[in-house]
Amino acid sequence: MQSLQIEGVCAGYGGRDIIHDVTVDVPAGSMVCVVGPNGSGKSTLMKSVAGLLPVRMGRIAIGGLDVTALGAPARARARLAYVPQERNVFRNMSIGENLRMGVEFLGIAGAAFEERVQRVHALFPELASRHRDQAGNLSGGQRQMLAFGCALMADPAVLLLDEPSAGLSPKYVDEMFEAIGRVHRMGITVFMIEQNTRKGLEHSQLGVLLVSGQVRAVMPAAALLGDEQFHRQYLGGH
Amino acid sequence: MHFVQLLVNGIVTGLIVALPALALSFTFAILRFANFAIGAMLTFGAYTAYVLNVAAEWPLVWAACGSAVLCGLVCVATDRAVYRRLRGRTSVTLLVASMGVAFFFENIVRLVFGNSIRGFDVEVARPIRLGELRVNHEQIVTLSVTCTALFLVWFLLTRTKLGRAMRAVADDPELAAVRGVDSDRVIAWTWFIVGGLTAIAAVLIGLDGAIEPLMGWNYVIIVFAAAILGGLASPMAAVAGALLLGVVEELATLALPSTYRTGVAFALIALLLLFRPWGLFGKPRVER
Repeated sequence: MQSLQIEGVCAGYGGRDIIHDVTVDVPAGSMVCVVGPNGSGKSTLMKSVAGLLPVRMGRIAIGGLDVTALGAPARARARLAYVPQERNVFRNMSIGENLRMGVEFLGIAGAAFEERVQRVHALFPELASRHRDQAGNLSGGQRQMLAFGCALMADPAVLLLDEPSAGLSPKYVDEMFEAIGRVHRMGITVFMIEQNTRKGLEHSQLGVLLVSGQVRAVMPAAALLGDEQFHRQYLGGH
Repeated sequence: MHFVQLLVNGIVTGLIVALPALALSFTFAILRFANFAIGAMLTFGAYTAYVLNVAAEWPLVWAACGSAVLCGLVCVATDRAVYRRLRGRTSVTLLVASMGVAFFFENIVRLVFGNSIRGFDVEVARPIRLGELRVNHEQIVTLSVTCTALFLVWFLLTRTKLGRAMRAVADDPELAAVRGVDSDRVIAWTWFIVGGLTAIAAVLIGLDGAIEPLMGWNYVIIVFAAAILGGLASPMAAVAGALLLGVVEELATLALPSTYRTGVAFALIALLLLFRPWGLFGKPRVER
């Protein structure tokens, strides 16, 4: 199990920072959910952790290993897996090829590969029967599953999820969080951002509230869910 | 019999165009811009092979191989010097840059070799007769070389790690990076393959006609047409587009004077693209 440290990170586009001095400590083996209103910089934070957006200031470390200077491919090899929100599968490749792409460039092949495909199929039986289908023809929910499966193929230590429930029907949302829970129990550290605040926090240990690119609160997820003021402001008073 | 002869000629004409069309759609699929320098690269490839063949006295096969490797390296170097600096800019910027690259290579050729027409050092062979069908030696060479090259490209794309990486980058560069694909390496390999294919096609064009500074220019439009007809972003479909174009051009001479054959082919393209804007053989790419 490995931890993920985000220390004083500033990042953005075109010289303008969107997130300011963000510090989040994700303990090894925990599940942490970042919530916040639209435009609060959740996606920017996620992209900087994944290595797709250079960090202007600050430090990112996986299990104590400083990865700030590394790009996305090198971070993937450092056992960081990222599931983007959309554009998360290779649409013009088959499902089988997509799964293969999950490991091929990280140096895993042979027996370990087959074993991992089996594991993903066990998690998402719907994918098993459609090995040769083009990924672009899958429904939104199935696509999300495949994307999740591809990330798991790499046997990550830390899993980044960008709004795992976005665009999913309620049935798939429950199935998705169920799968995330199972993966988390396997000992994978999970760091996610989620628009579906309630679902995201219900399944997490730690909640992080991000507003206007700044961390407003870090507290146990249950406490954040139970916080009156937070409810009024971000859950619409339910 | 006349019909069969035209069909054979058409297929061979199409195959000559197939390799550069394939190279063009490669750059389009992976780098997202229309590489206008394809014509100049053809010219450059032909002259490189000419130097190896005539000046260094290598047999043409080896000269072609040498030219393929050299042009591959030149393409990789051009990418480092020009296109890499413009990565992430709009496709129009890159298109204009490729025009500059085209002028650069074409004028290097002119500077060194002048405007005179040259030819490879090959023995003239009699055409082979099969009944009434006449097949040139060059046609057989073209057929076997392009088919081999096409098979290798197909194999590369569908059966190898590099091929999957190329398709992944073509599909979604960000996701490919997340999956551990080093896109700079994939792009460098793509350019190497593009250069190699172009050089081989250039030798075939030089065998078919003559080597002169404008030889590549004359192919630019037809190569673009074939690639667009097939569907720009699906490389192997460019081959089908090229074949169709070649056959239609030749068969058009059955009904019209041969000066109009290119016109007929382009009229057909215009018509087809009205109904299938994603190209004849390409499938609509899934973009949702």
